[in-house]
Amino acid sequence: MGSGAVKSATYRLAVRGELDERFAYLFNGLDMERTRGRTVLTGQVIDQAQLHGFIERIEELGLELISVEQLEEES
Amino acid sequence: MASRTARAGQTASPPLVVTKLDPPAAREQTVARERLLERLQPGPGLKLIVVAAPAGSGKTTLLGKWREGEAGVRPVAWLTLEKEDNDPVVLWAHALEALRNACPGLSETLSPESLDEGRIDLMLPQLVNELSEHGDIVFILDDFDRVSSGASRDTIAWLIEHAPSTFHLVLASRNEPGLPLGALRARGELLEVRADDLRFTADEAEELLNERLELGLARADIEPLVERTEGWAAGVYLAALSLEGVEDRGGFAREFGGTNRHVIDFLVDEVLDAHRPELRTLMLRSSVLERLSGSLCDAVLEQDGSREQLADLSRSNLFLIPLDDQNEWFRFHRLFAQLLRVELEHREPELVPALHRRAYAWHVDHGFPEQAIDHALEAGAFAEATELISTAWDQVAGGGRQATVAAWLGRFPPELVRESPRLLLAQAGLAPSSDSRPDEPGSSDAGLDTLRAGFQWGDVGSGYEAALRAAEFQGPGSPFRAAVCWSLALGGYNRGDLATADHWFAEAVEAGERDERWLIAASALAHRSLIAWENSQPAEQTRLAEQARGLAHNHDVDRVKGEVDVAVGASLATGGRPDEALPVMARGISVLRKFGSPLDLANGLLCEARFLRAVGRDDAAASAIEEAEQAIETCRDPGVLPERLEALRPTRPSRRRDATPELTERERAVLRMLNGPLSEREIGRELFLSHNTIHSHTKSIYRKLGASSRREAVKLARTHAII
Repeated sequence: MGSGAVKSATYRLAVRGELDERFAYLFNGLDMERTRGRTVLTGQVIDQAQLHGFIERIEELGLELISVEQLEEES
Repeated sequence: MASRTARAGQTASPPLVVTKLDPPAAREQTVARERLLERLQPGPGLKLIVVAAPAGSGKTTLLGKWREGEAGVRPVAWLTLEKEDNDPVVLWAHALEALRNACPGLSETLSPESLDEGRIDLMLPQLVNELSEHGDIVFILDDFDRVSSGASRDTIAWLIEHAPSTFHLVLASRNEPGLPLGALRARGELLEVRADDLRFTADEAEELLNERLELGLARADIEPLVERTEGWAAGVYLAALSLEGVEDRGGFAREFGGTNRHVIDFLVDEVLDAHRPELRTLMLRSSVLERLSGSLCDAVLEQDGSREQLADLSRSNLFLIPLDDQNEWFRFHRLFAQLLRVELEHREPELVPALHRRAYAWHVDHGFPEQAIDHALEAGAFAEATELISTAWDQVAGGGRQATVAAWLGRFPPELVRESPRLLLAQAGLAPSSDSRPDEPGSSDAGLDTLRAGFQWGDVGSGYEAALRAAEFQGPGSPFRAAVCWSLALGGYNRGDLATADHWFAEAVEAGERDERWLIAASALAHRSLIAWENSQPAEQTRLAEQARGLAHNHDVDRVKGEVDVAVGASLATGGRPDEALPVMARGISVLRKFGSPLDLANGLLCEARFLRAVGRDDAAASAIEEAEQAIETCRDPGVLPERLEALRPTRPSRRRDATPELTERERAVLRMLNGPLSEREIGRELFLSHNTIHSHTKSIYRKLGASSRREAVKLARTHAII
C-alpha cells in the first residue's frame, strides 16, 4: 500500500530549545540529549504511527521541529 | 456537565456538548490586535480563512476578538472541535446546532437529531441549498487540527467546494489543514494568517503586559522578552504569569535571556511557583481532565472548595478558560494543560492512574458514560471500561457513530479484545458498516470471525452456527442475551425454521426490553409479526406489528430498523388497507437499503413482492424480486431466500441449456465494464459499488454464463449477444 515503514527503525528528532528530562515521558523510550540550544531525541520507533505520535507531542507543546531522520540500520 | 443528551437514557444521536458552540468569553486581559483584525475581511468571493500557527500563538484569542466585531455585522457560528469530531456524525451534529443557533431560519430537518441515521451525504446538499437562501454567514471552526480523520475532513472539503459565496468558513489550526488549499489560493478564495503574522510585536507585548496585566515593565525589559520568546504569545504570557510573583524583574529577565532552556521548560516552574500552593496542586492534578467543574475537581482531588479555587484561578490566569457564564465549567488551554501534565508526571507519577480512576467514578455517577470510558481507559481500568462499553456500544454505533466505538476498542491492548466476548461483540457490531465486510474467508482475524458471522452478513449457515456457539457463553443473565437470541432467531428465520425463529425472537423481545436493547426488541417484534403473516394469523400479526411500531417510535429507532415498517406495512395490507401499506413498506425498504444486510434487504423486498402480487401489481413485484435477487447474489449462503424468491415468480423461467442466460440489469452493467480495461476495484468506483459487490456480481456472471475467466465471460456474452 506504500503507507510507509511497518518495521521498526531508529529515528532521530531534533527540536529547538533545551528541554528538561521530565519531558521525556511524552516520548517514552527515546533518549533525550541537550546540546547547544536544541534537544535531540533518539531511539527505536516501532512504526509510523508511533513516529507521528511523537511529532504530535512536539506540536502540542508548540515546539519547533528542526529535523527528523531515520538512522542507518546497525545490522 | 456542559453537555446534554438529546433524550434521557439510551439515545442514538450523539450527546451535544453545548459549550463547544460557545465562542471564547471576552476577557479584559487580552489585547485587540488591530493590524490582524483589519486583515480578516470576509469579502465576496472569499471562501476560506485559515489561521494556521503552532500551539499558543494566539489563534483562538484573535478569532474571539474578531468574532465580537463580526457578530454585529452578520451571523457568526462558532464551534471548537475535539477529538470526538473525527466521527463525522459528531462533527455535523455540533456543526448543525452551531449554524442553527446563528441563523434560526435554517429548517427543522437540518437538526442534529436528523443525523441519527448518519446520512451526512444526504444532509450536506440540503444544507448548501439552504445556505444559499441566507445572506452572509461566518462559520468559525477552532482547533481544526483535532480533526485528523479523512472522513470528517472530506465533509468540510466538500462544503468549501459547494457552499455559496455568501458562506465564509474560518479555520484555526495548529497544522496545515488537510484541504485543497492550493486550488483556493490560486483562485484568490483563500486568506491565510500564519505563525509569523501572529508573533507579538514589542508594542503589542507592551500593551498586554503593561496596559492589560498592569505589570509596569520598562520598555527595556519588554524588548528582550519578546526577542527571547520570538513573539510567541504563549511564551510572552507565561513570562507575564511568572513575573507576577517576582520582585527582581530585571534579574528574572537576565536569567531568562541567558539560558538555552526552552521557553516552556524555563517558565513552567516559574508559573507554578507564582501561584499559591493549593492552586498549584489544583492545576497539576486537574490537568488529567478535559473539562473541569468544582464538583468534579473536588472528587478528583479528594478535597472541598474547588469551585472557589477555579473561580479565583480563572480571574488571574488566562490559560484557565471559562466555558459558561456561571463559572461552572472550565478547561485549560491545550498547551498549558500539556505542560501541567508533564509536571504532574514528573512530580507525582504514581498519582495519575488514581486521578483518572476518580474521574471515571465521578462521570459514571453523574451519567456521562462516554467521558467515564475515556478516563477508565486512561487509568488502565479495562474491566470497568469493558463494562461501560458493553452497555453503550450498540446505541452509539446504532446512531451512526461507529468511529467512536472503534476508537474505544483501539485503546485496549489487542489481546484483551480478543479474549473478551463482550468487546468482540462490539467489534462484530461494527463490521457490517465498515468497508471490510466479513465475506472473504480468512480476511479478518480468525478470532473475530465467529462473532462477526453472528451478524449473518450474507451467510445464514455459518451465522446460525456462530449464534449457537455464542449462546453457550451468553446465558440468560448475560447482557448480550438479547443479541444472541436475536441472532439465533434470525438464523432460524432465514433457514425457514419459523417455529424455532419465533421462539427465539420472543425471548429476544423479552431480554431486549429488560436490558433496554431497543434496536433488537423492535427488530424481533417486527420479525414475529412477519412470521404470523406467513402462518396466516392476522390478529397476532397486527398486534405484533403495532407493538413493534410503538416500541420503535418511543425509543427513536424507527429510522434505522427498516423491518419495522415492512412489518407494519404487511399488517396494514392484511387489515385491508393496501393503499396505506405501500408507502410504509417502501419507507422500510429504503431504510434497509441503507442499514440492512443483504439478507435483511432481500427479506424485506420479498415481503413487499408478496404483497404487490397479492394486490395484482405484478410489474412492481417483478422489480422488487429482481432487486432481491441481486441482494441474494451477494450472499455466500442465502438460506431459504432463493426458494422463497422462486415461489414468488409468476412462472419459472425455463432453464434450457442453449437459452440466453438471464442476467440482472446490474450484472449486465458489470459485464459491459468487464469488456474494458478497468479492474474490478475500478469498476466498483465507476458504478458506486463496493469491490466486494462487484466481485460477487462477477462470480454470478461467470456462473450464469458457464465461464471460468473474465476473457471467456466476455466472449460468451458476445456469443449470446448480451453485449
